[in-house]
Amino acid sequence: MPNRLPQPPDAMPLREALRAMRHMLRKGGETLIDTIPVADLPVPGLAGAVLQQVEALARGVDHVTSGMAKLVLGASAQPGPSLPGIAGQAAPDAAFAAACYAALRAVLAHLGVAGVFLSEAAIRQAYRAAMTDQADEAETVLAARLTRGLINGHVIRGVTAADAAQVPGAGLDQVAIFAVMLWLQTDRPEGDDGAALEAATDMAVALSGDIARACATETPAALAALFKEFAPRV
Amino acid sequence: MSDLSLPVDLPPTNEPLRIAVRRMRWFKAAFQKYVDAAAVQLGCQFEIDQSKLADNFVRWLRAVEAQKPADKAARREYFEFAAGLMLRELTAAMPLTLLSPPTKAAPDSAAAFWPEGYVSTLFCLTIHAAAMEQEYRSSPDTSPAISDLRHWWSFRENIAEDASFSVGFLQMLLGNQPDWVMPGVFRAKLQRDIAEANNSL
Repeated sequence: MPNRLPQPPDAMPLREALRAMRHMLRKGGETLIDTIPVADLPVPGLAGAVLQQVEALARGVDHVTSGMAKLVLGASAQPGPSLPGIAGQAAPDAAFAAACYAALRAVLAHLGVAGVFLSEAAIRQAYRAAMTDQADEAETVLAARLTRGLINGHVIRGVTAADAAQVPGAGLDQVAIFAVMLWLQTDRPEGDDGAALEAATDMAVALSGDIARACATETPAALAALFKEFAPRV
Repeated sequence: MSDLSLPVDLPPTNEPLRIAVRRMRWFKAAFQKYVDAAAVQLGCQFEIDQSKLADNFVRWLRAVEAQKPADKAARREYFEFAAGLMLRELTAAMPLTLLSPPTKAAPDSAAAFWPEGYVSTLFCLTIHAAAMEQEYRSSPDTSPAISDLRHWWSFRENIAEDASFSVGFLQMLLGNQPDWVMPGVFRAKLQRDIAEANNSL
């Protein structure tokens, strides 16, 4: 009888929980620092210790995120992710969620947006919901359905007015998600994943009006047409 | 190319230049590299508005695709026209801001008169020359008009009225007769050339 290693547990729910906690603590921390003079408290040492714990927790989660980003954005020897490549993996929903999370994080950083919460669980759910048995479906159409699923699944949360103002119009989530999906369809033969993602982001911002109009339609056709037009041009 | 061109190595690519230039990441890298070299040569500082540059690029892509001729015989001429469209988009919403004036440019030169327009124009000429060299083993010459400040005065003044003037300006710098009535319409130029050819028969 062959030796079977036990299946490792899915770490995503733990990551999601830690990130949610980090998001909450950061939001709360900002408010605390702004409103409470910690040095004037009767026990400033205790307040400092709590803040140190919070910082250590945040750093721990950042390390996980940073490792994922390196893996996805080409700092590893592995080829960058693509939609067909992801679909061929053993757990495509987990692979897509990890890649999309790291790419979205990089896109938002390029746009100057910090402090929003990204839900890897919601990304995974959107991927599962978007996948169909239509094997002959064009990649652009799948990408368009995924884009709509990610937008409707509210994978980007906690966007402030200042965050939203980084993109013209009212669609930070639409633009950021479009950028990632565009990037996933782009040929990157020279391994320049990071530069390609930045270019896809700049392109998505330039197309924000077209993206908003496409998202307002009832079918994925308009978004698919935009992907077809611009994926070879990133 | 005239001696006004800058010795800039364009970013490496495994693709033909005519394909690479229609990729945003290569276009951005090429523009950045060119502007950096120009700033050193002219002794000035520029800032690039990346958001404007992305807008320029997307509008240029769409303009190039919209007017692309079906006739392959027109391809070579279209290369030149596409370079003009690129200049049109760059001058219509200039992505360059001059942070410090040129210290190494002659006071009566185009570079001193309008550094942003000068650098954008030479960038388009450089891309065009590199593509022509790769596709046709041909190095286009620039007209002596490039050194004539009066043309640059006219260029800057006219594009304030109509950005399409840039397309004609670039054609003029390449030694060709532009269609000043509709400089931004490729078909118009093509039809005029055909008519001229018929008349000369």
